[in-house]
Order: sequence, then structure tokens, then C-alpha cells
Amino acid sequence: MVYTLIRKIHLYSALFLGTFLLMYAGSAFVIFLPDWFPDNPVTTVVEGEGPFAVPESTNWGVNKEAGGKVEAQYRRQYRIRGRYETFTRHDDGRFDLIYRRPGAEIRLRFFPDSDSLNVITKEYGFAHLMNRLHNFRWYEGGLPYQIWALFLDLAALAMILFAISGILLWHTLKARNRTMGWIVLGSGAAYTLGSIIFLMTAA
Amino acid sequence: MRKLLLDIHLYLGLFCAGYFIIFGVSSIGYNRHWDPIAEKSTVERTITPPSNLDLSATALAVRDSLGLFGQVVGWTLKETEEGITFRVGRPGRSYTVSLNSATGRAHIDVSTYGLFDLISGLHHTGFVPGTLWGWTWGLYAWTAMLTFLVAVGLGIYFWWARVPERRVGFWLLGVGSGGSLILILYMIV
Repeated sequence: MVYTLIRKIHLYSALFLGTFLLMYAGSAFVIFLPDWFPDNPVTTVVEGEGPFAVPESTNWGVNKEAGGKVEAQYRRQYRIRGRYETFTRHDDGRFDLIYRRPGAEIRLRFFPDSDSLNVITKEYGFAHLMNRLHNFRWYEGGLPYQIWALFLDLAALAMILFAISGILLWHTLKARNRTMGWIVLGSGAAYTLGSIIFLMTAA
Repeated sequence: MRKLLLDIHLYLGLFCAGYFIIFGVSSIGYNRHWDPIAEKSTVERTITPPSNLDLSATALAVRDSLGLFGQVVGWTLKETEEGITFRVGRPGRSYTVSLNSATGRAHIDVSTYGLFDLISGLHHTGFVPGTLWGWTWGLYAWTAMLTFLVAVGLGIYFWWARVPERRVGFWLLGVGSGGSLILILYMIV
């Protein structure tokens, strides 16, 4: 009874999260093999049509919250697809609102002196796309980003669950002879724990 | 045949269980704004400065002369008025090295991180050149990734063989995996 329940949890969580888990495993290969996947980003610049209502630009500050108060109107106006992430002020007075999504970075660059604006879109190739998919995170932005972060947490919990439920399933399945399992589990666990202890104590 | 495949699924999973737990725990941390907490200390050492090497090779030689292990972080590598500065990083610890090329005096700022940061560091560590542990960890990480792919493939095979569970499985596959596929496409297209 308990065995069946654990087996179903193990199986059903894998089926439910399969795409996300495979995305993380596949993108890890791309990240570990950067030389195999060269990347040539393409940048396009579009000039915005003025006049721009640059709201109290000097009071925006340099933090995310300040930029976030006014970014929504520009995101709609220029149909930007991506999550607003940060705000950068340059020494010469220009300032950027920076949006990102996996595979692309979009900068809304304001030139307060000339009341002009550029939409700078940098589209990356496959390697960067996979890297960003792997590293896209946090409960920030609109609903799609919140769902993404939820799936990330579920995938992380599933990894822990697979390990624990797998051990329990093995323990039941191989009740007659667990010698091989103890050797395999013990060597993997000992190596992992040994690595942690080694890294904590090595000079 | 099915028994053999089940044993492969089982034993590969058991061997990599520790890695999967590290992966899961660190991923939960990555999904939050977690600031690493470091304990700082300083060490002064004198070495024989390497000569006739380019900047990158000099950093590697200095790292080895100081007995440090970890990867030289490329973007931190700079020439200074006195000599060279760079950072060496590995899970759980980082070293900022400033070497005076004339005297051979090395000033090392050591940052030692806690257990959670060390585990997070292991998440994105593959092969670390120059150390036996770094080589074995890279091998273990690759084994775990391949194991994961094999386990998913075999898991689907085992599920398909159980006819009564196909219907529920299809629903979960459609709603969860299908939904997340649409979400991934929404993000990138």
C-alpha cells in the first residue's frame, strides 16, 4: 500500500514536471560545453517616436523599485516582451530600463537632453537562450514569471523527492538482498558527503 | 529485460541520489534572493614570482605556488601598478590574490562561506582543473546528468508498460509537462 503510494508519487511528479526537468538537464549540458555552442548575438536599434513623457527622471533613483513605478507605460507603448529587471544611469545622463527574457535583452535607452529614446534589442543564440532558461528565476514580474518560479520550486522539490522516494522504493523492492544497493548508495552518498567535508576543511 | 532496465534505473538513481538532493536544495535557494554570508580573513605569503608568462598563465602559476585550488575567475584578472590581482573561486571559498611582482609578496583575502553556499556552489561546479577532487566531481556531475536523462527515459518506458496508469499519466503529462512547454515557448518566442 505504502509502496504503491510512493511509486505513484515518484512517477506522477516526474510526468507532471517532465518538460521542465528535461529543460534543466538539457540546458546544463549546453552550459557545461560552451565551446560546442558558439553564440553570436544580433542587436537591433529602433528609434522611438517622441515626445517622451520622461517623468521626473532625476528622481528615479538607481534602484529597481523607482524604475518600476514608471516602466509599465513604456512596456505597453513599445510592446516589450520580457521582465523588467533593472535600471541603469550612465555618466552622460542617459538612462536605461532593462528588460530580459530567455534569449533576449531589451533596453529602453532615454536621452533626456534631446528628448529621444531608443529601443535596443539584443537577440542571443541557442547557447545563451539555454543558459537563460536554466537561470531564469525569482517570484518577480507578472503572472507568467510567477508560474515559472513556481515550476522551478516544484522541479527542485521533485529532485529531492526522486532521491528519497527512490531509496524507499529500492528498500522495498530489494527486500531479499540489498547488498548491491547499499554499496551503490553508500559510495555515492559517501562521495557527496566527503566532497562537502573536504571543501569545508581544505585550506 | 525489464528487470535489467529496472536495476539500471534503480542503481544509477541510488548512486546519484546525493547529487540530486544537492541540486534540489540549491535550486530552492537560487529561486530566492539569497546573499552569501562570508567569513573574511587575510593571509600574507611570499613566493618566487613567475616570469615570462602571459597574464593568464601567471595567475595560474601564482595560484599553484600559493597552494590554492579553484578556478581563476577570468574577469577579475587584472594588472596593477605592483603586479597582478585576481580571484580564485571554488565551492565554499574564494580568494582574492594581490601579488607584488617585485617582492613576491602576496596578499590574500579569504572569504569562507557557510554550508548552504557551499552546496549552492557545487550546483554549478563541473570539472575543476588541477585537482583530483575537481576531476572526480566533474565526472560525478556528468554521470548524474546522464543518469537523469536515462532515468526519465526508462521511467516513461515503465509507465507505458502499466496500462491502468496510462490515463492518469497522460493527464499529468498534458497538464504539467504540456503546460510548462507552452510556458517555455511563451517566454522565448
